[in-house]
This record gives sequence, C-alpha cells and structure tokens, in this order.
Amino acid sequence: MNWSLLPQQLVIGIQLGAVYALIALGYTMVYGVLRFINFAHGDVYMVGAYLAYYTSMQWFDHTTMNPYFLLIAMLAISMVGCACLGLLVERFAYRPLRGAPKIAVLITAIGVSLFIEYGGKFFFKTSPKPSIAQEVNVLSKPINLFGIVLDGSQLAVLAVTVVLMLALWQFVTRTSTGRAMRAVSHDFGAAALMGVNVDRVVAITFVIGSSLAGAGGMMNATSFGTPLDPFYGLVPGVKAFVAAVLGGIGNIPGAVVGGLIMGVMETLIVWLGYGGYKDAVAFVLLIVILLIKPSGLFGSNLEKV
Amino acid sequence: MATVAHSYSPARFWTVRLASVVAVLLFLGAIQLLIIPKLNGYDVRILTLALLMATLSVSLNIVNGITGQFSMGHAAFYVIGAYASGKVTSVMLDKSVHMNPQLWLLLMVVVGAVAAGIAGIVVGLPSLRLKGDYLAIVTMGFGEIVRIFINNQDGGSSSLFHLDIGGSYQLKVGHKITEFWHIGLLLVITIAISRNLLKTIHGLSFLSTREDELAANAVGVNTTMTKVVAFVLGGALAGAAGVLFAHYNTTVAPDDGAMAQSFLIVAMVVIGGMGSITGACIAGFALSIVPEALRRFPPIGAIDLLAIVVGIIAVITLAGQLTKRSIDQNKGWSAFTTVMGYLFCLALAVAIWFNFKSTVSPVIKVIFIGISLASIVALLLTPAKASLPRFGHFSVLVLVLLAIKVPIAALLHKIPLVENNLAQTTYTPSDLRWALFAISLIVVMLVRPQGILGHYEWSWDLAARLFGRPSAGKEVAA
Repeated sequence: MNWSLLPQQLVIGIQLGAVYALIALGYTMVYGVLRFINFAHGDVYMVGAYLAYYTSMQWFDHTTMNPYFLLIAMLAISMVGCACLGLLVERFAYRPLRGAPKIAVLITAIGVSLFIEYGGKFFFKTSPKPSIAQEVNVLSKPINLFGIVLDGSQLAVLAVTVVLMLALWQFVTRTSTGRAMRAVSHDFGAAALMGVNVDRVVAITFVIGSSLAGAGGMMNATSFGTPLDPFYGLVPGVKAFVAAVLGGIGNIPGAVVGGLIMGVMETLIVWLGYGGYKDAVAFVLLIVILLIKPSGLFGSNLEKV
Repeated sequence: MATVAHSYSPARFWTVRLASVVAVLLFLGAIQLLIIPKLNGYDVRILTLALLMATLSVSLNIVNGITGQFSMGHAAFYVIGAYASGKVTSVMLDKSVHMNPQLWLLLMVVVGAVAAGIAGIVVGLPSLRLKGDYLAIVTMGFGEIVRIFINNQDGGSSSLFHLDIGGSYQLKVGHKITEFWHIGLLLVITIAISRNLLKTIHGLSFLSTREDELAANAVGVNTTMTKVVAFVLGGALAGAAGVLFAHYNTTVAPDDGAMAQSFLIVAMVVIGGMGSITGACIAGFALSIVPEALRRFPPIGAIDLLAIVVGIIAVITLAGQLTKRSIDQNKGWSAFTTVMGYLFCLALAVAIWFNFKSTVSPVIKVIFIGISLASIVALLLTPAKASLPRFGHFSVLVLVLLAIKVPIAALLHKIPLVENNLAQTTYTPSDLRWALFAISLIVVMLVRPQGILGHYEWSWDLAARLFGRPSAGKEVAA
C-alpha cells in the first residue's frame, strides 16, 4: 500500500468509472423501458472500440491529422456505428419477442451477445489489436497538477462523458420524446394506450443506449492500454451492469454514480495489491447488493427482483 | 406421458427396476468392450466428452427446466468437483493410498459431488430472493467468482491459505482412471434421478415451483426448500461429472469453468426443450458432436457458409414447426409431407456437402438439388400450408444462394471490407461453431421459445404423433 499513489489511482478510477457509467446508462435505459437485461450491450461497446481503432488507424491518418478533429471523428463514427448496430439488434432479435416469456428474451439476448462476439471474428482479426492510447493524444505533454498526472486522453474522457450525460439528461427531461420514454418506462401498456408510439420509443432508447456504449468503447480504447479482441466488452459489460444495479436499475443518475463507484473501487483493489481478484469483486458486490438492497442506492423500483 | 392404469405391485416394480439396471450395465459393458476398442482414440475422446456434456445438460435441466430457476453458472459446479477431487487424487494417490482405482474413483465422485453440492447450497440461497434475469446474472457471477478464485490459487502471495491448485495454469491430476462406461453410467444415473424425481410427489413440487411459485406456496409446497434442493442436486451431479472429467483428462484448468462453458450448457438445455430430459440429453450430445464434425469440413467460401447458416435456420424452423403442429396442436401433417420434409433436410445436407467437394461430378449435384426442389414443391403443394412458409422461404434461399454462388462472389470481390475481402477469404467451419450456436439459439427462441421438444419426454406415443398419426385420447404432457 503506497499512500502517495492514492490520488493518482483515484483519478484513474474516476476515468474508468466514467466509461462504466456510459455503458451502465444503456443497461439502465433499456431495463427501464423493456424490463430486461440487454446482455449484448457489452458487445456493442466492443464494436465501438473497434470502430474507433479503425477510424484512427485505417480510415484516417492519425499521424498527420489534427488530433482534436480525429478524436471527434472517432467519437462520431463509434457512436453512429453502434447506434445502427443497436437498432438492428432491437429490430431483428428483440422486437419479434415483445410479449414473449422473459426467459426467451434473456436467452435471445445471450444468443445475440455470442453472435456479435463470435461473428466479430469474421470482421475483426482474432489476434489482439494494439491499443490506440499512444497514437491519439490531444495534449503534447501531460499536465502535472499537484503531483497528479493528467494526460490528454483522461481529460478528453472526462469532458466528453460530462457533455454526453448533460445532453442525455436534457433530452430525457426536456423533450417530448424524452417524456414519452419516461412514460413508457413508468407503464408500458398505459403509455401505448395514451398514444405513445411504443415501438419508436424503444428503438430510440436502443439508439441512445448503444451510441453511449460506443462512446464508452471509443474512450476506453483511447485511454487504457487493454488490447482489443472480440471479447473486449464481456467483462466491462458485466461490471457496467453491476454499476447500473448498484445505482438502482432504471435510474439514470444512479447509473452514473454506480459507474463511478465501480471504477474507483476497482482501482483501489488493484492499489491494495489484490489485482488478481478485481473482476471477482464486481460480482461479489452485485450479489451483496441484490441480497441486501435489490433496489440499489437510488432506485425506487417496485419491480420484484 | 401416457399413464397406464394398472395396479401397483411391488414384485413387478422391482422386477422392472432390476431388469433396467442389468440392461444398462450390459449395454454399457458391451459398448466398452466391443465398440470402443475398434474406434480411434480421437473419436473415443469426442464421444466421451459428448456424454459428459449430455450429463451436464441433463443435470442443469433439473435446475433450469424442471424447477424453473435460471442458472447460468453450471460449469462452476463442474470445476469445483474436478478441482476438489483432482487435488485429493494428486496428493493422496501417489504417496500413501494404494486402492483399487475403481473404488478410488467412486470415493472421489462422492468427494466431488459433496463439494459441488455444498456450492449448490451457497448458490441456492440467493435464489430464495432472486428471479429470472437477476438470478441468471448472479449465478453467472458465481461462476466467474469461482473461476477467478481458482485462477489466483497458485500457492503464491495472492492465494488464500497458501492453497496450491495450479493457479491460472492447470492442476495436474496425473491418474487416468475414468473410462467411457463410467461416464455412460453417470449419464444414466442422472437421467434416472431426473425421471424418477418427476414421478414422485417431490417432482410435483419442483414443477409447481416452476409454474407458479405463489400458488405452489399457497397449497403448502415449501418452495424455498425445493429451490435449494434443486440447486444441490443439479450441482452435485455436475460435480460428479467434473470428477470424471478430471480423472479422464488428467489435467484441469480454470477455463474449464469459463462463462462460455456455462453458456454452452444453458444453450443445450434451452434448445432441447426447457424441462425435457430427452431434449436436454439429445441436445447435449448433438451440440457436442456437431462442432467436432465441423472440423472435418474443409475451409469454405463466404457464400457456402451463408448457405450453411440458412440451412441450419431452415432445419430448426422445420423441427420447431413439426413438433408444434404434430404434438402441441395434435394435428399432424400427412405422412407424405413429413417424409418429404425429412427427405428435403437430407438432400439439403448432401447438396451442401457435395458443394464443397469439387471432385463430385456435377450430375450428382444436380440430382440432389433436384430432389431438394421437388421436395419443396411437394411441401408447398400439401394442404398443411399454414405453418410452412417460413421453412419454405429459408429452404429456397439456400438453394438460390448455392445456385448464384459464382456471380455473388464476383460481386463481393469488388466490395472492400475493413480487414479482408469477404469473397476471397475462406473460413473454417469449426472456427465458427460458436456463431452457429448463437444463430441456432436465436432462431429457436423466435420459432419455438420453449425449446424444440418443449416439456415433452420420449415415448412411443410421442413418436407416433410426431410422424403424423394423432393419438386417439388427449393426454396431458408432463
């Protein structure tokens, strides 16, 4: 345990937590509207990371391009690509099962997840990709703030996350589509009876959730040194799900707080020297929450779990 | 299931039991002594592991299918059994104990089953409060916790109690004791336990917990106890399977209990039919053999692959429609339609197969494609049209794909893709077995959410109904 490393670890934890929060938002929104866990969400995140990689490495030239513009292009392509993927998954896998038993939907979600992972082997090479952290950097040299080193990618992650979350909050609370979304989340059947186009709202939910996951994938790929492979999204996806449950599933601010807690906790465990157990801790936390307070920190969800 | 109304007689009961046990032992002994020595080692290994997967699938069916508690961490019980017994064997059998290997294996099966059964209690407890999706993800989490825990136990600084079970590398058991017939016997025992469970009053309490927990509670079923017992029973049987695996493979690795393994077992239960022992057993066996059979395919082009995918979809659709119509709705197609349907599947398989083998003369290809087309026409002309279109569309698509393979390949050749050119690259079918699984899973859920066999069990009556002769009396399925 090295106390002098703690502040730096906390910054990394918040950065990681921001990525978890972005993925968790997708879980929580889909759960809120359709009441099922979209297991394929982590794989959408994986596709986002790959799209960012291809943007910076193949479609654009990262060595000569303006880094700000490149970052924005990566973000846009990841988000749009993932939104399309989410839309396709919703249309062809989940919509035909509307009203089917919950278990059938759950198994379909697992099937979709496996399909994206193993189908990804078609399009993405199976051998791990180099991380893109080093190639794309907005700042020429890191900022040193009271001994805490902040590099460009960390600042970019935090800034983009804050902007996206504010935009999402505005969308959900201020627009009529956002109101429709909240209505469907509150009562699916009654919203349909009141003239809300439920299919459209569900599709929009998937588009937003998937594009946020794509943004998360892009940011994780640019700032952490994890090599890419088609199973890149499996563990972060599950951790983000834990974050969504921790914050109270169906609750948007809860997902953000849950994500940050998860990220900080994970880096603290590595800091304590139990890095081998860091993935297990997420599951232990999940089991503890579900047994003690299934509604999560902020959830007022009456749904029986 | 037909319940024949004859009076209970202990003599008859025990005669039947004894005869079954003798028959099973004779059958397994015959396979072990007569057939196994004639096969090569690789085939024996595939068959043995397929039996093991069928055992796991049937044992998971007790939890998922019969009791309705959706567990996705079944491989965890398997590795717990494997590691517990493997560690004991590797430590004890070399040094002090000189025991008959068969007896030692029996002892180890007990050790592994008890270890996994205790784990079953640990997992069963959360199920008291959780349902559906949440139970699924918690059991999945349990599986991952077990895997990560084993990964860290290498006797080093991060392992608890300085336990050394090989860590992320593997545990060397060192003794190959398990034979084919051991696993066969375990499968039969697992099937017998599940089947006998369903025949008893306890089985009814399991089924009622699945169907409606509240109502079950109201009529006095202790659903809490039932759920924990289901987890313990399923877990212990999976643990026993793990023991046999450890003493067959002689090494155990943490990844034997990976999430993918658990998903595979779940897929077997789900595709076979949730709650059907027959379905779980057949699906477990088939889904282990088919990927291995795919290894014998040569690498193929993208269009052929697409044809295989659509062909799989067509066959699953047909199987789902067939059971739905003949059994659920008790209608049955005409025998002619059914035979043509199966003939079509056969011809389709052969057509696809020959399509890979460029050495086969085009005449034979044309004959088989002709049979397929004729079957489709026959199917479409039969009166029972209502449930056929989806199958028909998919089948036609397969043949069209095979027919226009060359022009499509030329077209795809011009589309640049991210990594590689789709049309140029060839794919090894066995690398894609997981993607094929995923597609099968999705299609089964779309066509027949309760699995291909649903809740039905094998019986002669069922077979008769499947082949288009509706039985006279309406019976309640188990």
